[in-house]
Order: sequence, then C-alpha cells, then structure tokens
Amino acid sequence: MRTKHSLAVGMIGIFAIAGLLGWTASAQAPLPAPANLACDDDPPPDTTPIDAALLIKGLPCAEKVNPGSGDTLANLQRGFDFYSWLTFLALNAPADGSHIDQAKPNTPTKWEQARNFKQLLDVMLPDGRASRWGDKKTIPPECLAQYNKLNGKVMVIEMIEESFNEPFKTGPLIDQQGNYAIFDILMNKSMFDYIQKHNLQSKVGQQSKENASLKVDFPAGANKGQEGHANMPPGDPGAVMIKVSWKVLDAPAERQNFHTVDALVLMPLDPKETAKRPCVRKTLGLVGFHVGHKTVVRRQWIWTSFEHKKNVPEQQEVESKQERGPYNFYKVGCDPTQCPVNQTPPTPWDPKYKSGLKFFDSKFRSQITRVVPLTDKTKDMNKQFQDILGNTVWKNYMLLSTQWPSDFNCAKQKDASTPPPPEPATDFKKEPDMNCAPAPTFLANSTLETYSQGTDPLASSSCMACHGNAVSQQVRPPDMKPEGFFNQSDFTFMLEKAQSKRTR
Amino acid sequence: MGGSLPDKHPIAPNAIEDEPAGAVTRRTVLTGAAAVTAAASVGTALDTPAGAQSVDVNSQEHMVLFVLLSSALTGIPPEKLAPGGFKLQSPNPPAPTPPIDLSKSIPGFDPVDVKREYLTRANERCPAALEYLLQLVRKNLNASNRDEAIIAALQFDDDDKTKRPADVDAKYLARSIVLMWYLGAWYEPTELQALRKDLLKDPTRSPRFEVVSPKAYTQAWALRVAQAHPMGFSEMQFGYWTRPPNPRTDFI
Repeated sequence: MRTKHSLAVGMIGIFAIAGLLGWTASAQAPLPAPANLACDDDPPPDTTPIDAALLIKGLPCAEKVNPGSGDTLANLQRGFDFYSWLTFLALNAPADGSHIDQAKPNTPTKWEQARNFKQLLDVMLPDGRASRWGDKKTIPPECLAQYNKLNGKVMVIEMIEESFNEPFKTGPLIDQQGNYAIFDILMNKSMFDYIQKHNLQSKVGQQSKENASLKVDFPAGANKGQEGHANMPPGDPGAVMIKVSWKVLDAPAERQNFHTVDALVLMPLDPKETAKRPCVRKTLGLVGFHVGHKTVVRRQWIWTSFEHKKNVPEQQEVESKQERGPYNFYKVGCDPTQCPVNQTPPTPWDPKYKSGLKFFDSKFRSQITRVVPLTDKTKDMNKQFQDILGNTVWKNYMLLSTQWPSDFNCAKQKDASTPPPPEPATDFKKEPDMNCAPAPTFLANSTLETYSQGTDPLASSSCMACHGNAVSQQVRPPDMKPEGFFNQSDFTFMLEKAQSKRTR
Repeated sequence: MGGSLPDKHPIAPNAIEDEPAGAVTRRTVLTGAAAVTAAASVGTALDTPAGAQSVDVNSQEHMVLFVLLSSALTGIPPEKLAPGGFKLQSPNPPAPTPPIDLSKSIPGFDPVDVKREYLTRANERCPAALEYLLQLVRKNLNASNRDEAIIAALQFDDDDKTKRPADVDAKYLARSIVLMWYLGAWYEPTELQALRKDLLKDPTRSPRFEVVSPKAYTQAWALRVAQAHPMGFSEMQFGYWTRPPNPRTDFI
C-alpha cells in the first residue's frame, strides 16, 4: 500500500463529480431503507467464530486485538486481519440492507453510496468551494446527457492523472485486454466534516494564516470503553478513506466474476486535444480495495488491502510453474523475453481520446506477479471468510494483509503540548519513528502499488512509511519561526488536491 | 548450551589499549567508537570450548540470551534492541528475579526483527564462538552484575598467555557483534584481530566490512545514538529538520 501515494495521492483523481446523493450504481434492486454505515464494536478475533453472523456486522469502530500467548506478532496480525475482513464486508454490504451472501455481481454497495462516502473530487471542488455532505454531485457536461438518459443510476468517474498513473507517477497498469486499470479515492463523512470545518478543501484556505498553526488531526474511531469514545458521535467510526481499482469489463462473460458497476468514465483532459473530452460508458469490475482507518490507539491508521484473487500469480508460483490462470494482469506461458515481468509500459502513458480506455500500444499487456506472497495464516483466514460468502462474487476477493503500528505505546501517544491541542491530539513529532514500527514492514497491492512491490527500505511499498510523508499546502507566515510551523496532513495525500482555480 | 564455566579472570589492564590509532575518517571514527566499546568488553575464558555449535536462531531462549549479550556489549537496554515486549520472566511471577526462567522469557515481537539477522550472521560465520558467548550469558544470567560480568570475561589482552584460542575468538566475535548493532555492518572477527597488528605497520589500513542487509543499514544504532538517521532513510515526520531533535531518551 505504500506507494506513496496510495490512497490519497494516488488516485485522487479520478473521480468525479458527479454524483451525489447518489448515484446508485446500477440499477437493480429498489432501495428500501437507507442503509447508513454506522460502526459497531468489533467482536474479539480470538473467540469469535468465522460464520455467517459476521456478514451483518457493522463497520468496526476500532480494532480489538489480543497478543495472546506464543507467537505474539502472529496473534496480533490475526486480530488486525480479522478486523480488515469485517471492514471489507461492512463496506461492501448491499446498500439496500440485504445480506452480502445474497448479492449479485452488480448489487450496489454501501461505500458506493454518496450518503456514506464521497469521491475526492466531489470534496476538492473547483475554486476551493466549500460544500455540504448532502450536496448533489455536479455532473461534468461531457457526461450529462448520458447521465440523464440513465436516470442517474450510474457511477461517474472523472479521470485525472492519478486515475491511471500509479503513485509517484510510476506508470499505468494495462490489463490482458489492453485497457487501463482505473483508480478512485473516497472519504467518509468524518473526514469530510473535518476538512470543511478547517477550510482545507481550498488551497487558499490551507494557505491562510489561520491554518498556519493547524496540526491536521482527523477524528479517530474508538470502541466503547476506550479513551476517546466519548468524543465521538454514536456510530461514528472516525476517519475512513478508501482507494479502489477497477478493470474495464468489455466481455459480458467476465462480469460474473467481479463486483461490477455501470460507469461513465470521463477521459483525462489533454491540453493538446481540441476535441471534446470523451465520456465513455463502461462496465467496471472491482480488482483492488484499500481502506485506511484512524483509531484512538492506532493514530497512524490501520491499512487494509484487498484484491481480486485472479489479478496476478505469486512470483513463486510462476517459478514453480504453478500458475492457475487466466489472470487479469498476467499471461500464463508467455516467454519472459516477450513479457518481461513487473515492467512499466512504454510511453506515452496518458490515455488518448481516440483510443478511449485502450492503451495506445495495442499489443502491450502488463505482466505482473506478486513479489511478496501472502502468509499461510492470511490464506487460511481468507478461505474461512470466502466460505461464508456463498456463491457470490465476493468470494473472489482476498485480503493481502493489514498494516498496523506495532509499537503500542508509540501508536497511542498524544501530543503533550501546552495548551493541550484538540482531540484526538495525535503526537506527530515522535522520533525516531513516527510510524511506530509498521507491521508488516512492507505491503503492496498488485493493482495499486504495482511497481513498488518488494522489501527494500524506503523504496518498496509501505502504507505508513509513504503516507507518513504526506503534507498539505499550508505555508509558514513570515513572522512564524520555522520550528513553530508544522506541515503534515495526518497520513493522507488528499489535501494536496485542494484547488484554487478551475483545473479540470 | 549450558556447560560449566570457569571463574572470572581479572580484567586485563591494557585491554582497552590494544587498538592502535588508524586513519581518521567518518567511518573509522564510528567504527572506532564501537570497537572501543567492544574492546572494553572482553575478559575471561570458558573451560568448555563451544564445540557443539548448537545455537538455534529460531530458539526463543537463544534469542533472549543473544539480546542480553548484545545489551551488555553495547550498553543499550534490551527493550530497545528487541522492542515489542522483551521481558525476562521468573518462574513464579511476580516474585522478583532472579532466578530467570529463560523458557518463559519473551524476546520481543518487533516486525523489523533485525536481531534475528544479527544472530543468524554470527551463527553462520562463527558458530563455536557464538555458543561460547551465549554460554557466558547463561552462566551469569542471574548475577546481580550480569553486564559487568560478561564484559569482564571478554576483556583481556591478546598476548595473555592464560587465554586459549577459543577465548580470543569469542572476544573478537563480541567486537563484531557490537559493530553490527552500531553500524549494521559485519566485520569478520579475524579481520578485526588482524587489524590490531596491521595498524602498527600501516595506520591507514581500514577494515573490510559488508553491510549486513538493507534492513540492517536502516537500523544501525550509531546514528540513532546521535539523534540522527542514516542517509536515505528516516521514519521521522516531514519537516523534522526545522526543529531540534527530540531528547536522546526518545532515541535510546
């Protein structure tokens, strides 16, 4: 997950504006009662059986983990992985309140509802305008006719560079059909409210003198009885952000294996083009799913990474010829001289209007393998959860791992400044490791951090090591001493996307 | 592990003066600082040469012993070398230690776990000397002056005729272990031993070394002790360079 930009930076782009209150992904089932996404106390991982009862749990307000006896690190990792699965199930539960084990491939999920999550560009509006949580999405004019024709029952994704280029501009990912993988970033109401409260949706607002001394510190979720719980409205999980990756599904037969959405995708602006930006209607299949969640004792956030199990083989499977294709981003049997592994595509990387979402080089396909394999324990847990998901597409998704700050005392440390800063008063100045010993040290999603997989310090993907470097656009006034200025953005790159003038 | 051990020998009077001055570079300064620490830490022979070579890098007990050894040699608390719950356990807690029950003691669970790389490296290169050192720790496990006893046992001059080759091997492995912790680099014990004589002839002679791993490079203690970080790697907050470093106690 690191890639430096992952959730945030990364994708930021894409999204679009559209929407509002909701697009309700595809149309299907009528939406009875609104299924809001409140959080629940996470059941204890060491005593809770993995069965169908977990399918109706809410989003965990915070993790519950137990070091147990014996292999402490493994016991704690299991607790966080259990938390991640509950989070995945809660976010992807049907928006209409039905059960996920009855979901169809295109059943809209809770996170896809604007009442639960907003796309980044619906917050970082042109001119840095403020907005309200209930505001309707502004549909780009290029997509408006199609949107109206579909009665708004379609997802709208407005592409920017982060929608097709991976973190640190390391390149796009091209599937086996020659299409770009597409990325999107979203935030929940807790993050939205904090941003609006401090005028952080505006570049000018971030650069204001009032914000020069602000330590960006998003709300943190807490379970009942935990310190900080009283500070949170009932059911509020604190800050949650999501980054997803999509695969274009042109062949109807493919669609039965993915969670899908009907989408209008607005091509990224190309200043060299004089033609109108194409807005193409596509069926998109979910291939990657990141969640970042800040909690009171994990103030460096908890980082969850899922992906479709048919994305890529593990490198060791390739070496032992144990691939079980076909894969979304790997061709079995292709000679390495013809299909070099984990290489970026040839340039130019930007989508071209005339090609739509197809890569310009019609013969190129990404040949990706997973460099760091899943652990056996994670695989075991995946199987247990997949087994309770019936015959739905959700059984095709797997947890890669969960990254969490393993130094407990460090992770819950509060800023002891005088006067005390507002809650949650996260201490961002810890040294030498403000990330509090991330476990596992490295974590990469093959679709979201494709080109930074591995185990090289500061080069390979680590959610916290990357996001810990995120900053805002705050500036130091001339009369403020350098040591008094504190530019960080609490592990999110989202604030970098605040605008001061129309750029899209 | 576990054989009988001889009584402590007196500390060799010139034990910390057996390192002739060499060329002064940034590397040699750091090396020298750590080497002096190691040099000050050698001293007694063990009756039983470590012949079994049975150190198990996956053994919790052996890891606890290695952390205690490393702490005694480096002066860094074991909880810092092995973060994540390092704990010495008594048979009947909360009864005070000693005695320590190694089988119940916890070597920490930090995800970085550089200590395992160091133990593995020492075991691969010098298994007999490593076992000697862990036996030394085991012998002094419940001593009230454990660290001092370990140091005293490894502190003697190479020319001390009462010492056997195994004693000398252990002394120089102890140095290598100190250098690993502080510099993240492996200095072959035989190289360190040769250096002692070579520097008398050629003060510019620099010891050969290899960085143990990228992980070890990021975890070296020398720069942390200096409230700094290695070039190219830092987990500190963006903009930390605009402020004075946090107190040294935050680092060590």
